[in-house]
Amino acid sequence: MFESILIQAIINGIAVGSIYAIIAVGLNIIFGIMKIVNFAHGEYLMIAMYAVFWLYYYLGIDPLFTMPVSLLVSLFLGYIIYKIVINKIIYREDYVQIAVTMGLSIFLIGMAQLLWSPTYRGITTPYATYSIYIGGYYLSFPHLIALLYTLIISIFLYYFLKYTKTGIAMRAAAQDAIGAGLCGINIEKIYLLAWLFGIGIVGASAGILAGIYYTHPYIGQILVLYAFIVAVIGGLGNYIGGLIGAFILGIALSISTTYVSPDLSLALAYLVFIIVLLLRPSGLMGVRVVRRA
Amino acid sequence: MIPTFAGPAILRLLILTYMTLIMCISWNIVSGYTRFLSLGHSVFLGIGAYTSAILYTKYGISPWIGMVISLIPSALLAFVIGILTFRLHGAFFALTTIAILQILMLLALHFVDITRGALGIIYLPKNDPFNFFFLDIAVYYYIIYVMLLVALYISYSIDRGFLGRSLKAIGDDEVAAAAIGIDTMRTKILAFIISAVIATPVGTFYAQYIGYITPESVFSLGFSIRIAVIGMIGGAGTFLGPILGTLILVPADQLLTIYLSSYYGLNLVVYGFLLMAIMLFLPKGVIGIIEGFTKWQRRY
Amino acid sequence: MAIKMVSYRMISIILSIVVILGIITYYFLFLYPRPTEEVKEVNIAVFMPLSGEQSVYGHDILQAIQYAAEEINSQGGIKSLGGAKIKLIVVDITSDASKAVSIVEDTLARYKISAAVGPGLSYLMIAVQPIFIKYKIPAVTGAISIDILKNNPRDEPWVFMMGPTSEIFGGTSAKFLDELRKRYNLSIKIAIVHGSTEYEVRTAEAAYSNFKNLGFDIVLKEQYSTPLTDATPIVQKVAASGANFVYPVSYLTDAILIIKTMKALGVKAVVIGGGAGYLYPSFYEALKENVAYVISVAQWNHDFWPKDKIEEYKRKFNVLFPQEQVGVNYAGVYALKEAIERAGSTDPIKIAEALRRLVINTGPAGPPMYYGVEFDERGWNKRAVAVMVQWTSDGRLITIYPFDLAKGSFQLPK
Repeated sequence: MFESILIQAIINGIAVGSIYAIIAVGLNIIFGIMKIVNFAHGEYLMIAMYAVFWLYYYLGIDPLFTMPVSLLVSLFLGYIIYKIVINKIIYREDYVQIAVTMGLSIFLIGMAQLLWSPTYRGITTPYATYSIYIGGYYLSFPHLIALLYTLIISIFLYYFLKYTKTGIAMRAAAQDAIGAGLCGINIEKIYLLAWLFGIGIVGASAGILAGIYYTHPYIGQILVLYAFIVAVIGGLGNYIGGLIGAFILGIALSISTTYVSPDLSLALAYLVFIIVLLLRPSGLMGVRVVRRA
Repeated sequence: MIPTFAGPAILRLLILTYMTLIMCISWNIVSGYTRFLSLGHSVFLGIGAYTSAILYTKYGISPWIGMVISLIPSALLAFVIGILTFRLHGAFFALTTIAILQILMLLALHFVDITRGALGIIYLPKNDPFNFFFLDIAVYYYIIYVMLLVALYISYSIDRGFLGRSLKAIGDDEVAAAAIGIDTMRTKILAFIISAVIATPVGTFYAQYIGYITPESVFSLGFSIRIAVIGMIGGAGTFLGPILGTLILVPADQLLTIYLSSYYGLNLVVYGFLLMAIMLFLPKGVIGIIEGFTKWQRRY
Repeated sequence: MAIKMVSYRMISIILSIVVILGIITYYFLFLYPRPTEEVKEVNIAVFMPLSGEQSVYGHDILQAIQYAAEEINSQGGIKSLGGAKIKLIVVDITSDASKAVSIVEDTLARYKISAAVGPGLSYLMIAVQPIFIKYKIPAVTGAISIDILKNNPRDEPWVFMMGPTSEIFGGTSAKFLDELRKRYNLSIKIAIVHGSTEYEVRTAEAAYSNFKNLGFDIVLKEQYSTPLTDATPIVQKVAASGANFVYPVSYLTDAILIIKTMKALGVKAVVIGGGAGYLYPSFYEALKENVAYVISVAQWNHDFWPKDKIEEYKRKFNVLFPQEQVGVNYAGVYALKEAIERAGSTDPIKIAEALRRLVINTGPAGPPMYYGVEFDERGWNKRAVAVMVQWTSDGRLITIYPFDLAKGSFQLPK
């Protein structure tokens, strides 16, 4: 089948790591700039995936081509929710933010179940079983697309945050919101922008993910759990750290499931998460989050 | 105190309600007051259930004793989690509780020789009082009722006592609380341990009453979130809050399940919406509404 | 003059009274509707998961039961009850075992049920079977875990299993593999992977022990948590084990993911499925030609029915073909029907007794199942056997083993 199991496992790990990275990036942007832990992050992905699915189901459109639609759907939803809910909790206490975003998550999952039932919806595109065969190893086509998407988004973000005016303003807001405001930056606008960025990145990826995973009300929650682990390992708020963390986690899980067992490896991932929290809560590169007292 | 002329359906509903209520009270003791939201509280239920079940099925130790023994791992777990995460941002505490819950669930799934994994542990119905088995559902009702009374008593004493005041202070403003000399770490950890101790016996009870436990059913993320949600809707950080929240939401949920079961997900929509609405506008929960009302009344 | 004391008036009065009494008596004697033994309907409860993850199975099985009931009713219903019709009381027990328990108990306590058809999924059936015993209502099921029968009082079962047990699944799979080994002179390395529910675990265990007994080399036995989000980890393990045969036991969504991932990662092992998901029309619909050569063990395959019956079912329910549980539950309804006929009553206790003594050799489409129905003292249909089936690239599922029941010969890829 293939020469080295280990190398194939690493390749698979990179592939799946890129998916975790996609979701973690959005989380990091939102937490880094707005200091909100968005427990409902996965649900925007979930709803975008449903949009992709229905387009496929009724109109036969290939999921990869629905990227603009899923992006728009998630931005629209993100915007509405921002105006109704999120901007009311930006300045509130931690637990209110957690509670509200959790409530939102439950609400959205409930709506999805109500509207579309919990049945798993799968899309099997003709290219779902294709793979690239390089040097004796396989990389499945859908995963390749995910990898490309992650790379493009990462490069884009890097240049955006480093060189554009808005990007620099965002970084300023992340460092010190009050100071940034004093410099004349419109913080409200930055917050909204950061929010939309975070949601949009994950929403646009729905077309890719719908071809890999089943679409169902809980898919968002399942995937976002990995994203949280990744974000914390890399440093909550730092998206580069998130990227690195994602690939580390992906490869580590892939290797350990091959040599140990799928269940135990997942438990190990959670354990690593806890250890990182214990030893270095700011993760590899993140913002300081240790409280006083 | 509902005497035994209530039909089995009513008794079953009450038992379910009381179990959830004790869990909510337990949750409230730590998360309600301190605002460190535990989203994996079911982990204590699971420890209670599996510890007593394994001790009974493998070593023949009576679940009554198992119920007491299972307090040890729970208290230890609460202590460790507390030490590690109480000094961090609230979200990290929440995520850690979820992570611990998932880890224990995965361990229970994996070590099939001990826990029978996903097949779970099944008890055949029988009458064996020394080993916590009863055929008459009313006996289970009385047991959970007593457990509830104990939990209520503990909760009330905490609420009115020094520990409660310290916890509320921490919840309001931790820095200020530390400044007036409250040892925040110790207080929070103590509350967490008490909370764990109240919740764990419910796990043993669950195993004996339902007679069927699986890793997913007792280490349930969904249930943990529900407890937290009910606590917050009812009014976190008060004595009556969890009680009101449970008494309203649990029977409503059951009714929804029975009569509107085709509207799958409706209860989630309601919970989510209520949670958001309450947190945004009435952070004191339903209790806040009532308190506000009585204050308004007293003015006139 | 002394005898004629009665007047005309008196005579007319007496005559009228007699006539009226006569009419009344005649009416009550001959015309008044009797409360006869004649019953209009027999209530059969159908407990299926119609919502949640297993709703697809639930609906499919429900269709089969409705089909059987309609057929029975249109052919005259229960003759010994004067043509009483079967009335199905359909109840959604959801895909959640704990909810199912309260729903079933509620239904049995509230309605007057004569018999029931239990869910065809082992984990659900195991959860609800004590209730049938408690309320003394006989129930048939297409689920296969033998633990379903463990609460039955010996010699007095209330829960009846129609199809082969997971042990037989394992045994038949092993014997089939043996045939393959002999015919093609193969060295077989098997990887067994399975989900975490009752049915999946039991079937995998049975396969493991049976394969071992026939001396097969089992290079992997791995459990994954149902349902899967990503099959890559488990498929990777299969690849790493060096197996050339894989025996996955999965429900539908996992089955599709596993095959899809195997193709994408170039894992070329021969797939012998453990039933359930590998038998579904949706399995083909999702994977199309990728299902070619996939083999699986099954309780029943549609090619057992005569062609016109298959076509009728396909047209009526718009399915690719009637899937495994259709045949099993169809036979189950007929078993209940025969039992009610012989009991001549809607009393569940009498029906249960009839079921215990029941022997059916033929039915509307030949014998129900393959060899008929006869329950042993535990409540298991001891005539049940398992078969092996194989997919073609155009979505046909053909029975290939045992050879006396086969409708086609098996093929190996390459």
